[in-house]
Amino acid sequence: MRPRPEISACSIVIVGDFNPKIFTPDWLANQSIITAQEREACEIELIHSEVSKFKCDWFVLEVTKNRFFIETLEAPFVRILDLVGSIFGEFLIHTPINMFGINRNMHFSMDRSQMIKIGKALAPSAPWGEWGEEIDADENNGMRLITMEQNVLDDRNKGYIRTTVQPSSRLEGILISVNDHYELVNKETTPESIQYLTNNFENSISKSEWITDQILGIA
Amino acid sequence: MDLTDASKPLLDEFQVVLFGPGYGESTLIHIGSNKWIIVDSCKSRSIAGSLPLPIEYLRAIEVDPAESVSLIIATHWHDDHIKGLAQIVDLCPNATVSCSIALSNEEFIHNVVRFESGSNVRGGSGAREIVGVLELMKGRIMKRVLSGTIVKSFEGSELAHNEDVIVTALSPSDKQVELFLNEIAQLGAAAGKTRYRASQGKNDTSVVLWISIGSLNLLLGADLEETSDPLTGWSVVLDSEGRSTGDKATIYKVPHHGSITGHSDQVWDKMIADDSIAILTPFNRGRKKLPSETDRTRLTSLSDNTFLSQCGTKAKKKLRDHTVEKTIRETVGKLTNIQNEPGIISIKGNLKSSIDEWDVKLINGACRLQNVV
Amino acid sequence: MPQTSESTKFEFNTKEDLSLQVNAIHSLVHDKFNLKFDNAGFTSLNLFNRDELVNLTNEPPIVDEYPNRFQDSVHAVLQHINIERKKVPSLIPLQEWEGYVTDIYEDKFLTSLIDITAKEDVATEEAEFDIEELSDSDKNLLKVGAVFRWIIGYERTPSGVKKRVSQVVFRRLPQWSQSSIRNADRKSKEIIKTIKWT
Repeated sequence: MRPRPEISACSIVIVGDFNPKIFTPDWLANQSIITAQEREACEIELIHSEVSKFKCDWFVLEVTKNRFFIETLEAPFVRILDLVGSIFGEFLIHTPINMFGINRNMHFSMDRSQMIKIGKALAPSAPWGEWGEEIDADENNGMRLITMEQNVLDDRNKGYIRTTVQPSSRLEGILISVNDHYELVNKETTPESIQYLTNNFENSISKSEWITDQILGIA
Repeated sequence: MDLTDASKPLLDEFQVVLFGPGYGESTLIHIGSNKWIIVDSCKSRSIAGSLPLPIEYLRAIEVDPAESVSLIIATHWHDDHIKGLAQIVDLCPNATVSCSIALSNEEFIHNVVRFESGSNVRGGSGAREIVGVLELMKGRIMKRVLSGTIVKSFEGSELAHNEDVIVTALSPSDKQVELFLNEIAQLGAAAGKTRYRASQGKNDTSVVLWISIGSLNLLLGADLEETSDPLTGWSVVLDSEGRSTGDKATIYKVPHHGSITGHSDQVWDKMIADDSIAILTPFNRGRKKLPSETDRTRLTSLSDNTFLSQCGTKAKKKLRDHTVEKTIRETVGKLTNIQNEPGIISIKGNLKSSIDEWDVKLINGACRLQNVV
Repeated sequence: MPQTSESTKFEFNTKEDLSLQVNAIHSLVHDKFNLKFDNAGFTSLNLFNRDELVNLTNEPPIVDEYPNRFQDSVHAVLQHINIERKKVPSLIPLQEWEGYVTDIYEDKFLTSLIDITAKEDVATEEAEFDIEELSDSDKNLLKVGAVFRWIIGYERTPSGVKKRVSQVVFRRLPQWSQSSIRNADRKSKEIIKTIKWT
């Protein structure tokens, strides 16, 4: 069975032009995008013309003038897609959107020896010459963070997949972050952009898990 | 699917092949001279990316569907019944495509396209297949049928057996169409309504087909259920202008999985020959499994030659992590695997031979209904 | 503590306003999140530190010179809020299905299930669920054709406690909008027009 993360976040980031002030739990509930009960459970941190941020039962929403961010730590992740689809596919259908990202942050619990094994495989010390030898001398030395990018992709005109591996700050183990980034180059309307996001969402989730499996396979 | 037992008919032979249950059910008919008719579609649930079974069968017997399929008829509109039909239409560009007149209704088409457009439901909106068919039919001829319509006819002089072939629709009636359209209006694909997966309602616009190949008659019962209304149900079929009273069918595709709701004594009495072959597919979903024991008793008393396309090859249970299995037991008790492999009943013979001389093949789990315990 | 509501204005038209707003941000960060916004500020990010902000208040505020940095300040505060915010539970699926309701009985509903974990896209299993186990808001969504996700997995609380869970969540699929209806109807009109009906 494939290893499961201890903590798993999924987020959608949209870059465009937004009016942060309108993004409130009340507004979401009035459009029936969230339920009245969900609205009651929301905690507002800030609602302002520059930035809005609030946390609801299963998601966090943060909007600035050029960035919309929604994140959940609870499966099913498709809920944030449905929420985004409702907001920009049905209501705010004239919002200019330039690019979007579907992101995963997964914290995997593992012991030190497994972490070292992954670190050494992803960032071997030999190419670092004599310094590499010094690094090798103590297991407290080694890889801190590594990012790999693929930007030649068949499924989009422009974009990339970036995966970063680093020690987790939340538990004893590693954090694997996958940023699946799409740029909109064909002057798509907002509903078209959201449909594009929708069409790629589940594949993106699967792909991030597949990439993670490759890395975890090292341990 | 293992089709090693599939056999190609001779040019002057007929063949009827019933596929199901899978995702849908389908009938494939050879009317002579390598001309074929496909009714609905069926796909195996267990094989992702597989071809519709009628196409797979034709290719297995080295028939090119693009050249040889003359007629495709959709008797349903919902994904659960016609999975793969759009692929069939695409692969058979020379075929006449036909459907119930109800499916050409503008409101119906608006509704199904609304369901399918922008749907991000896994497995489709319920209308994926019919919308796929309609899109492929742009620029092509689509024949609409109602009770009494001659769907297509073939001159005997063009066929190796020299017999005329006529395909006639015996349903739906005007009233059935009206009831169906009322139901479609309730589907509710309108601005401000939350999306959901379209489901097939009670009112059925099934197309019952009468196919005569010379003096051999086939009655394909689709899913038509009997009602107490003389303007709907099997009464319509019995009274249909397209029916020659006195002619009886030797092969009967029993409607609605052999259920009592699809049964009509009058149909058996007036439309089915005493010496006949009855074929049907089972229904293994939900709380009602069909044909029930009572249905089986009734059917075997009406025909000595009744065949069921899938006689209980149990789908393999999926193996999952023990934590998942434990939780399934605690929450829903059990999961029923509905991934039955479709079985196949093939009946092939010469038009001049008797029923006893016909070649009946039971493939991949099909059996005589009498043998079902 | 300043209210974090629409009434809070982060605009500085006067130096008094700026001073107030600077204090407001500091209080917000300190009181709510127990972070110190010390004199060095968040120097790792190119932000205002307290002294800089205080200095600004002593001069006529030229807002236009600093709007980006002000936004960055606010954003950085939020980033720290992200890191330090109350940790929430994480629900990790071991198994996930997408299902749709096919029949509703008195106390149960029948569903067809598509195994998402196995990357399938057709329904291969079915199950009956108790209606009573649905939340009130999900009960309102229960109808034939309603789509849901069923997750079996582990919920991990912020303190690290793991709990096995089974959760049915009905999807609040985007509604049909005027524009999506218009687009769909455009497609269907073309279909109706171009098929040669006989």
